[in-house]
Amino acid sequence: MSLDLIGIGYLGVGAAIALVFAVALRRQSASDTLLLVALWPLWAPMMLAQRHAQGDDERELLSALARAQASPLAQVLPDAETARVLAARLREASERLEELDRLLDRPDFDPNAVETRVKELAARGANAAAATAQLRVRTLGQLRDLRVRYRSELDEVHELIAQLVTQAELVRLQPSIAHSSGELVRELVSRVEGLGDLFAYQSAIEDGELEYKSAPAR
Amino acid sequence: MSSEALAPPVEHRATSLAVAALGPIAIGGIVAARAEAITPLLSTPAILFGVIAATAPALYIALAATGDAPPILRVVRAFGVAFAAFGVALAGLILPAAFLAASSTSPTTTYVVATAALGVAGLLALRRLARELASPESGLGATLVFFIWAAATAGIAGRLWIDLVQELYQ
Amino acid sequence: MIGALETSSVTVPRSLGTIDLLLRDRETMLARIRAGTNIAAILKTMVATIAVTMAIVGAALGSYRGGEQIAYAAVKLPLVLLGTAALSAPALNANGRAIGRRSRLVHDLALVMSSLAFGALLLVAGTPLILLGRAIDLSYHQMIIMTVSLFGIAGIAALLMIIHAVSIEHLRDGTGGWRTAVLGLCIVFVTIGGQLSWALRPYLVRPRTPDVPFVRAKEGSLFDAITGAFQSARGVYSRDAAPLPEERP
Repeated sequence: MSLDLIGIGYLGVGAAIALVFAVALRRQSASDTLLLVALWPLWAPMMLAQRHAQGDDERELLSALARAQASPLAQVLPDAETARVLAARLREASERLEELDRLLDRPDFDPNAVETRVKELAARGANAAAATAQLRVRTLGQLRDLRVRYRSELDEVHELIAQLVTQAELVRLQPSIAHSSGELVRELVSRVEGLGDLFAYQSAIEDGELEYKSAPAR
Repeated sequence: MSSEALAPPVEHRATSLAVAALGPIAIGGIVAARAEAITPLLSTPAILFGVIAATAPALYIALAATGDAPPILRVVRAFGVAFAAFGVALAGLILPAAFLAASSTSPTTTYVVATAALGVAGLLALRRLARELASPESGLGATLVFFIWAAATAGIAGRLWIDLVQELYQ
Repeated sequence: MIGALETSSVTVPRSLGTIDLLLRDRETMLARIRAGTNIAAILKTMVATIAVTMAIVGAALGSYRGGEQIAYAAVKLPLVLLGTAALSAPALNANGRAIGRRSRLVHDLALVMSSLAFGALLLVAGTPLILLGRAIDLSYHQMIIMTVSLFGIAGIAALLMIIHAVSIEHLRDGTGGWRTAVLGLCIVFVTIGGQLSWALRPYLVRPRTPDVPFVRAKEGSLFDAITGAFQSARGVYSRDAAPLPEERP
């Protein structure tokens, strides 16, 4: 087989994989498409791994609930439909955090760079432009605080899930304490439901409707 | 090191087993494309899985006779892990083998490359099987039995494979 | 913040910061790969780095003959390294996982690409020597020896980076198999790289060569050539005589 044919075959496989990913993911950047076509043995596993990692939180929660279902804790657990809704919300929170990480890593979203820009504009006497840039600094600050809140909430949810798994094993040995474990399950459900507040807060920031608010104490 | 620490999670193991089933078919496909015959596509997995299926019980019996046999479920699980390891190792070698075979003019290169891919994956799988079956109580007898079994199994599969390749080469 | 350097009004792109990190602080780079921080961005930067640096090295090699060979080699060398990486990088993970090494495919791919990018950057650092060779009219064979030496040094540096990274992982999580995994990667990489570079030759061409093809006609694989050489050394020939220049098609 000639090199030309091998090359065409290789790129053809890459193009087919890029098409499958484009249909499955619906959202694919130009660089991802190019890398899928040109370097699919490297890039396809990378994209699959990213996609898989996004579902890790959801799987962790469902797996923990499934294990607890087999213990005396079952009576205090949410039903299957509620569990699926909670898992989906957790997955969405993880995806939003990842998106925030990507966004805030961009050089043009660096608050230090924007602060510098504000000073330059003010020094030149462009006060209106400086004020607009200052608003941008505030928005970036809100987004960074939001990222911290997402991370903090997701960390607490992960710890509660780990505690649920441990508690399920303990309850298996001491069924009498099952009822008192209800508080743990309620806390976990409440935390995951509370992620909806963060989604609303994020939408408000992105729509420019919100002045800076500090995180409410729990 | 316990096998639970070594083995991948169950859902990954299922994927690895699936790849283990498809890997020899892919290698057979590479050889079939060169030889312009369909036989290797079916013969390659048949040789590998057939030989293992035929000789695996002998390993358990021989280990049991030495007094070092692990529980039968553990042996079955060890073979499952080794199959998965075979699939994973072969998966990393299919693309290189396909490229080397496609870019050469001589059929010898194709057969050498396919043999090397199957051989390396098989050796890694045998090594993994040995680790899965090993225990602190295992003695010299068990080690000797495993070594003889591995050599015999590799020899039988290798001979069948070489016969297939020679038949295609003529 | 790593990756964003500031002057009064200039921000250096993050990708250049990553390359700088690769050159100056590989421990932190490896730590970022282990932590999984922005793996996709790291991979993209490394792919771009390899493409650009190998184009520079290829152009330098091609300048020995000059003319269109500069462009040919600048196009072919990135294809060789990226193509070899694409086909062989998964072998590190596959071989290791087969014998129980705990590893994540994406992290192994990022490690291999980062190591290759490091080697490619070292090659770029050696291009002045290649240009010097042309300037002082080194003979073709002397240039070959120098080129092989430079590639050897870069290759060893890249390999040492991989060995260092996987041995650290071994110390952390205690599972074995890293030596076999690295050996497997080396064998596959050398095999594929050898074949691909053979197929896309020539790169360094004698200055007096009148016409240079983009790629030589397919005469067989590298292994066919090695096998043929062994057979010829034993006195077993496949043809009566090698064709003279005027007889070549």
